[in-house]
Amino acid sequence: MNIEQFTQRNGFTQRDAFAACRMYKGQDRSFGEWNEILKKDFTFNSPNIISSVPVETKIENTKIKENTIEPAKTTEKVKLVKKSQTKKT
Amino acid sequence: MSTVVNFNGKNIVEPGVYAQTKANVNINPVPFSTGNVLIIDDGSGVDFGGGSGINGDLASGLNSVYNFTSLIDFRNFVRGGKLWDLAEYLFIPENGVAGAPQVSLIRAATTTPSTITYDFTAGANGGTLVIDMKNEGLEGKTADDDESISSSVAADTKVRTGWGSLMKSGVIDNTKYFIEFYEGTFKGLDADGDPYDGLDILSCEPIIIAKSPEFNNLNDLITWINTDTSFNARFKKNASTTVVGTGALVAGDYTANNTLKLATGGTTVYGSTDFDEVLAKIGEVDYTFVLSLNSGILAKGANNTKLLYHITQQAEFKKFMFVGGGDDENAWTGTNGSIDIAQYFNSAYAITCHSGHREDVNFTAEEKLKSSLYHAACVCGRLAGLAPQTSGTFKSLRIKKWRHVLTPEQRVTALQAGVLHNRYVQNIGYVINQAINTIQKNTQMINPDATSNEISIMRIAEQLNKELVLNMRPIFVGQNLNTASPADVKAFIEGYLTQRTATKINDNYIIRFSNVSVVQVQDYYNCTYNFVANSPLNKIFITGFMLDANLSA
Repeated sequence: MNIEQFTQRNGFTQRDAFAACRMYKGQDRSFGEWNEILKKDFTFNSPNIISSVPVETKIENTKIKENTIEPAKTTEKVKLVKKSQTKKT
Repeated sequence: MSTVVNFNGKNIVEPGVYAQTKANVNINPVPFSTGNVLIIDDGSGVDFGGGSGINGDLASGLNSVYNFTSLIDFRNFVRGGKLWDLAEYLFIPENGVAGAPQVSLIRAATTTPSTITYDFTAGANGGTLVIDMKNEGLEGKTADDDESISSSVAADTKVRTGWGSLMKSGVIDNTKYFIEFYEGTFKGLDADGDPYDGLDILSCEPIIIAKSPEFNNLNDLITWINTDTSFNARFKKNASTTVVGTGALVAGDYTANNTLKLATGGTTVYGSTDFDEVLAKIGEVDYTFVLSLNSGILAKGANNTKLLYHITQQAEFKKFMFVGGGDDENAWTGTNGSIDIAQYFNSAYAITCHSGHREDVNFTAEEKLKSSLYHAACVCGRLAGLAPQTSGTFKSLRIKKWRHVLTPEQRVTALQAGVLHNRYVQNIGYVINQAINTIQKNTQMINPDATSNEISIMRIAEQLNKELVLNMRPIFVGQNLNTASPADVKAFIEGYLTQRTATKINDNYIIRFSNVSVVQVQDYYNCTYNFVANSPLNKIFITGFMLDANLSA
């Protein structure tokens, strides 16, 4: 994660985002590393359950969320099939 | 022939009564400050300093901004430490020339006051007197209490830094008592472990700040405390002070309190949130320059970078920040060298000063190595004492012995990299080579985005903005289209710009102006104007043509 991504996701003020981005331009670190480095100089959102997990895990979480929606779609299709069957009869 | 009078744009010839309506516009703009300096103490002033931090107990916010117009006042306030030492460079950047007209100081810290407590509880009456130190966070110390002193000095009974008090037996009436309140005068140790003013701690005698009248009743003492200006300049009675019974003291109260009492319990915590608080509060404070106390390897830190954003994006008027670069030739190039620092800031509002200096120590053959921070302070003070249109180029400073004397090649590199530095010029001495900021787009005097690498040009632009806003705001905002018509506003701006146009007799901000335009849009006026800044002359090229003696006759 680069510094721009970290500041955008963690509630930095415009001033603090400017400062952090200028100080750490071009560096790539994990969420935890950024958190450790920046917390002494900047005030930003306290890490919560979602934001405190690695980015890769977040992506996995999103995928899981998407998957959980799919059964509902399936149910909708089933209903449509039933309607068409009713018409035929 | 009748008298011809020009009235309301017409030549009036015939007798009669004529009337017109004009707005009550003051067309004599007031000049505003051009060189006030702000210092944000984010740790450099530790163990010294005065007043409260931005988050203080007795004062906070803008009430914790302290202004000084003389070196003596500033030094009396901070009493010692690096800021005490640095102030001389701001107020007196060169012998015989004006320095900063005003220096404001604010501590980016959360502070609580030290206290001195007198318990008069030996008898049935008496009470408790609690006194707060108005200069929060600082404790009273004797020589053996002071942690910065390595050699232990046994049984020192005098206040050397901070404050203390001593209850003594009465002189006029020996059944009564009085209390003397002291302030230590030790100035602290520099990075080499030497006292800033050359006086070791045991040579620094405390001064008496206030002395109570003789008393034998706490009520009498409190009455004096409530009214004495000397006492209240440094101290304040705490609300927890209580009087028991009649308040009368007994001999036991004196016995229990007749030793030196040092002010204790004060705290100073410098935090990043305190620095943020300072930036949130100082947006409308009147200053033009800010001297960063973080130089060298600290220059690219969070506080300086936040400050850069603040002075360019958040403050009501843009300011100029002075930062010390590298101290010597080792910190010229490379990471955190002067060139690196200038490229990092890359701003028309940030100035990086390269090289510290050597300072003679009084009465010895020693030299002190001073950091580039002192150079930054000196340049800041020098420019603060000059009018905006006066370039700092080829202006001398009080500093004469540089830790890094740049070669001609290095000077060229410095100018191209946006690093302010000094050079030796025959017949003049050491001078600022060119008063430039750190903007890296610096091959043209004026860039298409209205920035310039010349400090004086940027000062002129910002000063015009400041003076127009501060002059026009109280006159026009809140008026209506009749009392403040576009013509009135245009006339005011033209009047102001005329006043700011240089003549051969009076130097000024601009050479000329044109195209002043005021267009009404809904409930506001859109005003525009062109101006030519009174920009510096940096180079003169002379070409002589040699003629043949036989042909030139």
